[in-house]
Amino acid sequence: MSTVTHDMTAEMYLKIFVVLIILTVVTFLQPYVIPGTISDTVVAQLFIAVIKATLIGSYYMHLKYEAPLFRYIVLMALVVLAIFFIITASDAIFRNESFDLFQ
Amino acid sequence: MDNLTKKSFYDETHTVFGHHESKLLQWIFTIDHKRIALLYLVVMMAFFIIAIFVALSMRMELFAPGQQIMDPNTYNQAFTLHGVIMIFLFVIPGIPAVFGNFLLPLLIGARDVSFPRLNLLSWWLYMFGALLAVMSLFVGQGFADTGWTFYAPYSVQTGTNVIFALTAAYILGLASILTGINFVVTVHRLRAPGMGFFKMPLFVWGLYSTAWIQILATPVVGITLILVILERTLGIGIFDPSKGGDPILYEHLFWIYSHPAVYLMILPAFGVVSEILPTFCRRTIFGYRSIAISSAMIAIIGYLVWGHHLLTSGMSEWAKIIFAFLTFFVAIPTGIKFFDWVATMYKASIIFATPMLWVVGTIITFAIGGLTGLTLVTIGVDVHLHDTYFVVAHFHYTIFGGVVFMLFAAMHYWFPKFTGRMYCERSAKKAFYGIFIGFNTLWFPMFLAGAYGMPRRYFDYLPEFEIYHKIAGVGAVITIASILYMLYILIKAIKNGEPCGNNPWNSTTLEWQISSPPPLENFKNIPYVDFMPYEYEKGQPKRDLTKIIEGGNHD
Amino acid sequence: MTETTSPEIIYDKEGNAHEIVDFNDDYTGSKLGFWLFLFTELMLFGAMFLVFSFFFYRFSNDFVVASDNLNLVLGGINTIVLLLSTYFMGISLLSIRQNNIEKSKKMIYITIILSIIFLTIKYFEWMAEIHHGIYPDSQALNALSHGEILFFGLYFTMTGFHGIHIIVGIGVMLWAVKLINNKKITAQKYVVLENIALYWDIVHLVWVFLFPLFYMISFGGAS
Repeated sequence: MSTVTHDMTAEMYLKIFVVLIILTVVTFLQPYVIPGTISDTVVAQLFIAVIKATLIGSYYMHLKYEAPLFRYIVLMALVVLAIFFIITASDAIFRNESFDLFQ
Repeated sequence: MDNLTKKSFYDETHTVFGHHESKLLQWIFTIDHKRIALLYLVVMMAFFIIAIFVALSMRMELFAPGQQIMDPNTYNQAFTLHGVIMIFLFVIPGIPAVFGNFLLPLLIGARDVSFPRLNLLSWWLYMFGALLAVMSLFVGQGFADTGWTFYAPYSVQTGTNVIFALTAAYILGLASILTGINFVVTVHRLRAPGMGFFKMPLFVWGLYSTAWIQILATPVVGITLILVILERTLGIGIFDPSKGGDPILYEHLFWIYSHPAVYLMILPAFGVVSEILPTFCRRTIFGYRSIAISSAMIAIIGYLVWGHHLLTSGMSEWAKIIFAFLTFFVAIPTGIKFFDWVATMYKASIIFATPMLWVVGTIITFAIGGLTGLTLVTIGVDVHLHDTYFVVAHFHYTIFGGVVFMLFAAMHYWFPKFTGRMYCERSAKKAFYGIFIGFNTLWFPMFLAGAYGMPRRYFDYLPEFEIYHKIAGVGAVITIASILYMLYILIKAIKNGEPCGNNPWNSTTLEWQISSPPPLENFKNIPYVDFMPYEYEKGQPKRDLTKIIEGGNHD
Repeated sequence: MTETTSPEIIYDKEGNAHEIVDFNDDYTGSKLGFWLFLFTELMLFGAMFLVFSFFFYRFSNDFVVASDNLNLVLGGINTIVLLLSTYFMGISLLSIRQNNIEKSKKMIYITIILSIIFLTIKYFEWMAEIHHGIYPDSQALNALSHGEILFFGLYFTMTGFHGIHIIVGIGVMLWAVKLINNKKITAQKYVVLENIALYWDIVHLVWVFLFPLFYMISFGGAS
């Protein structure tokens, strides 16, 4: 029945685990290595978080080894979520700015 | 072969656990997609009738200025109840829950959906949510009075049973999500061998696009409703300006779901049009590929336009421009469908059976509804028209004139498949004309009233608007009487209708190649599908699959 | 339904055989369906992160000040604990596929214990705030700035939802052990355990974003 090959081995689980631990340590060290404004901290932290998420998704959640369909639909869901963020941001950021295009 | 003596899904079924002697248990524990569809149909129609009588009471109250039959607070509860039932209990389950459940496996050549027990769970969740909504009528201060949109801060502060309504809506959302998951997996996994995506019937395309919206959009309103409950109970503060919260954020979150929700309603309806047209025009649909892709485009672009409900809320100017532009854009794939449909009808030998009448009716009413939507989304015009009767007319022309009309069309088109009988064609046509005339009498005046300034959700009004309300009131009575007549004809035909064969409309899609009503496992043999769904030659179906499906293997 | 049914085969015009997917035994379908459910979780937490971002943008400084109240050490320990638990969950899945039933169950038990440790630490964190009078709609909280009120409102809401998902996860894992004992999950039919592992990975993923946004932003601004 199972025509699916599984490429995750115990070794891979351990290796990815170690990388994630290292990234967690980096998360803690980041403010001392790159001290800065709130935005700098947030950008750096989110950058690390996205790398962690990609590793977890590709390996622990097996997306690297799944049929392309799975990768497409995950991408689609993320794009939809991103759209919500981006367009809501256009309200959050410009909420009280007057619009002088038609002066 | 007399279909009425052959064993059908009415005679035998699979249940979720054990074997039951009781017929009732065999229905409410069934995992057969066809029975689940009928379970949805019965409950949905009951709620539909309740909601239209609530609407009638509103029209009677508004027949003249001043108080007639209810006080202002009750009026607020009435329009909330009408909206909540119609949206969450009727139109959103709507065509997918009934016709999607019954027909999706049949149209793709499968024996059931991918997760039959999850399907039954959907129905039970639907019943549970419905029960909660009904219960809230009879406890405490009665049903919520916030409007079906539950805007903060009023929804956080009012003493009526908002939490009941929100919990009910949340549970109904779960039912919707499970249906969506079921349909996506079914379309991916259970299509008959040979049926690629671009050989699927267009109703399946509509259901598939809808299912994605159900999965991705519903959770957002789910969490939003929970946040309102948390605001009411714990005072978190996110929608409370005195704590730094933002009511406009609530509107964003609510409409991020509720706008895609209306595409969730209309896409299956468009799919029904695409099924009915080839059958009664006796030719293949024009522009199959463009109709299929436009369903996906409407679903995708539909995620981008929610802010056109917030154009007068105090949003940033940039956001308003983005949303207005994107909303104009989403009209394009819809327009493509309409042009394809009209092209299908052009120079065709059209049979004006009742389903075809409904389709023509929808093309008129939805066109009006859709175009008035564009009027509304013109930002400057919306300042004048927002929250007026113009909006009420717009969404009734689209939802009733689009979705519900197509639900009625589907009820007539697939009635022979569900029951093995035909209804009285002459009476059904009379019902259509009654509803069509009543519908336009009821809602067209509202375009005018709104343009002249009549606000929506208002209990009372200035004397200059009285004439519009009176005409609408008359229209309401005509519409409701005709709807009841239509239902009476169909119900009567269940027992007394003329027995018909497998394929009374002589159509090409797979559901017509099996007996009416279908047997439990749908197809004796699943056919190999290497052909397009609507192939007619000189007005006749190009191929007859009955022998393959009922008899031996393909020869 | 019979336990093992022979696959249904149909033939096309050229005589090629095609197998009909049996929806009662569809590994890919079950996995696909579960991924779709995970999308609903993504959207649910995604919407909450949207609310968080909205107010973080508006009240950046207040959020940084409020974030200082949270205990970085406890948060950090919880991060490691949860990461460890996903590792063991992965090994559990590997073990069942290699027919190592006892190891698979042991790994699930370790995951459950780690989850309980996570919840316990979270409980102490919450208690610390509540003992300082900081909880939704408290007098002490309402006296603070708008940004701080919203920060803590979102803190309790989002970690609360996360915690509920962990509790449900523990329940589901116990159910998985039961299924393994009843031979409903085996080396050949393991999609239920695979889906549970996926669920656990999503729970971890939420924390991967929760932790920096609630705890680490306290470093922002002043160095």
